[in-house]
Amino acid sequence: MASPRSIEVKVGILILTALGLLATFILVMGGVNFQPKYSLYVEFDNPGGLQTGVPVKIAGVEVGKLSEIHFRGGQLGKDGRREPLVRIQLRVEERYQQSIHDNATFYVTTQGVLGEQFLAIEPGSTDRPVLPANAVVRGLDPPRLDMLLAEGYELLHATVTAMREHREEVGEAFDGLRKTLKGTGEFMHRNQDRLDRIAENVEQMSLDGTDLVKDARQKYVHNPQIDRILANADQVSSTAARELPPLMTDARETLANARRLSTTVGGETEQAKIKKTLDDIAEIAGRARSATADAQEVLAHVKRGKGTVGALVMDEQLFDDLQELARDLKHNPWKFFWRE
Amino acid sequence: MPPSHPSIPDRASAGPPSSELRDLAPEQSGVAAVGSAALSLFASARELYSLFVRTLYYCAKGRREPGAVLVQMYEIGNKSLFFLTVVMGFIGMIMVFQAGQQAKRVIPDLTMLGATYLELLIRDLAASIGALMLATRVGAGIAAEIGSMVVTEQVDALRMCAADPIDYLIKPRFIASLLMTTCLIVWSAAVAFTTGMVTAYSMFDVSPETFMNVSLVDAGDLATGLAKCLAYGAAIPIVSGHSGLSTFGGSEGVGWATTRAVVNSSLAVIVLNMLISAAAFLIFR
Repeated sequence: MASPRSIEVKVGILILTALGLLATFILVMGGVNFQPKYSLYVEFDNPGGLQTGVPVKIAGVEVGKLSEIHFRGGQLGKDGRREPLVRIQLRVEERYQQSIHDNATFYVTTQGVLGEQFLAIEPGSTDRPVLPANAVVRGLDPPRLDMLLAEGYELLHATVTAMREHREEVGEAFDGLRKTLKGTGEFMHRNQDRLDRIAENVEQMSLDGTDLVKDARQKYVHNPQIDRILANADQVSSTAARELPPLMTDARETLANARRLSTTVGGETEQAKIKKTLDDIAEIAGRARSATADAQEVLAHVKRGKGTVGALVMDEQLFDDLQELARDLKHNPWKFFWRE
Repeated sequence: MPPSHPSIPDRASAGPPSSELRDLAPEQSGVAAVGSAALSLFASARELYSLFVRTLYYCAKGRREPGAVLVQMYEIGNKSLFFLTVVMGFIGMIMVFQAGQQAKRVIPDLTMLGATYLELLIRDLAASIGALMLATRVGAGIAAEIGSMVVTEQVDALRMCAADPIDYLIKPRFIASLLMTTCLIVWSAAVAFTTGMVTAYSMFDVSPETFMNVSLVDAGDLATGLAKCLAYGAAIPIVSGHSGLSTFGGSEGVGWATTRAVVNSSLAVIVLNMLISAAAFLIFR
C-alpha cells in the first residue's frame, strides 16, 4: 500500500476531478451566461411543445431563454374578445434589445425536421421603434399538424366515399372524357394541314392587327389634327361654360315673360278678343285680295292699251310725240310762253 | 445486531455450505417453501434496514476516524478508477455505435444522437452500469474482508472489546463508498461520453460540437443521476457488509458470502434504479 500522504493526494485528486467535471457540466447545461437580461411576454393560443428553458433565437443565434409559461385560461379582454390562452415569459439578453422592433414576429419552430422546438424572433423593420422591456406581444401560433391531418383525412375520406358510391358515373365521365380526347386527337390529325394554315392565318392576322394598331395610333393618337380638334372642343366647352350662365339668365327671363304673356293671354275674354281680331284680320286680307284682283284687272286693261292711261303707257307713237315735244321744249323753252 | 450464529440460510439463492444442520432441518415443500422464502426475505430486509440505521447512527455519533475512511476511499475509489474507466469507455463506444446503427435505419439524421445519449447517460446508464461494476469489485472486496474477519473470529474479538464492528468496519466503508461512488460515476460518465463522442465522429461523422448537445438534459435528469449515485453508494457497502457479517462456516462460507454480496448488491442497484426512476418520473415528468 502507498504511503498515507500519497493516498491523501490521490484521493483528493479524484474527488477534485469529479467535482470539476460535475461543475463544468452544470455550467454548460445551465448555459453559463452573466449577460444582463430583460423580459418580454409573448401570447399564444397553442404554443405547441414549448417548454421552459428552450432557447430563443434570432436568425439561428441564441439570444435568450424561455423562462415561464402561464396558462391564462382565455379570460375576456378589455375589448370583450377572448385573450390568448397562454402567456410566455422570455428572458432576452439586453445587448440584443436594439435588434427587436415592435413589428417583430414571434413564432415557434423546430431544429431540423424532428428536432427540439424553440422560439424564433423575426426582428422586424429597422424604421420601427424598439420593443420595450416587459412588452406583451402576440405570437404566431405554430402550424397544427394534427388539425391538418384530421381535416385532410376527412377530405380524403369524403372523396373516397364519393368515388366509391358513384363509381359508374365516374367511370362514364372518364369514358366520355377519353372519347372526347380521342375524337379531338383524330380531328387534329385529320385536319393537320388546315390547322397549320389556320395557325398561319392567325399569325398573319395578328401581324396585320399589330400594323393596324400602329397605323391607327399614328393616325388618331399622334395626330396634330386630333389635338387641334380637342383644343377647339376644349375652347368651345370653356366658352360655353363662360357664356352659358348669362344665357341661362336671359332664357329664364324670356321664359318668365312668356309665362306672364301666357297668363295674360290665358283668359277666355282675351282669347275671344284674339279670335275676333284674327277673324277681322282674315276679312281684311280677303278684302285686300279682292282689291288686288281689281288692281290687276285695271293693270291688264292698261297693258292692253285701253283707256287714257293705257294709251299713254302702251302707244309708242304717243311716247315719241311726247319725247319730241319734250326735246322741242328743251331747245325752245320759250314756246311755253310764246306762240308762233 | 446481525445474528452471531445463523442457523437458517438468509436466502434461497445463497445456499449455505453443506453442514449437518441442513440434514436435520425438514425439507419444506409447496406453500411452506414460499412462506419460508418470504419470511427469510423479510428477515434479511429487516436486518439490512437495521444495519443501515446503525451505520447512519455511527456516522453521526461514532468515533472520528479520518484515516480509516481515507484508506477505504483509496481502496474503493482510486483502485477502481482504472477498471471503471476501461469498462465505461468501452460501454460508451458500444452504446453509441449500436444506437447510431439503429437510429440510421429509422431516420438517417444523427444530429440528436449526442443529446439523447447524454440524457440517457446522466439519467440512468452512467450511474447504473458504473454501480454494477462497482458492486462486483467493491462489494466482493468488502464481503471477503469482513467475512474472513468473521470466520477468523476477529469480529468477535472486536465485540469483546466493546467495539461495534459496524462502527469499526462498516462505517468507514459506507462513508468512503458514498463519496467515491459519486466521484467515480461522474468520472465514468465523462469517460463514456467522450468515447461515445469519438465513436460518433469516427463512425457516423457526427462532429463533436453537434454531439456535445446538452439541450435535452435538465435539472431533473441531473438530480435523478446524483440521487442514484448516492443510493448505490450507500447500498453497496451495506449489502456487502451484511453479507460479510453473516458469514459462517470457514473459508467456504467466505466464498458464499462474497458471491452473495455481489449478487445482492447488483440486485439492490437494479431495484433502487427502478424505484428512483419511477420516483423521478413522478416528480420531474
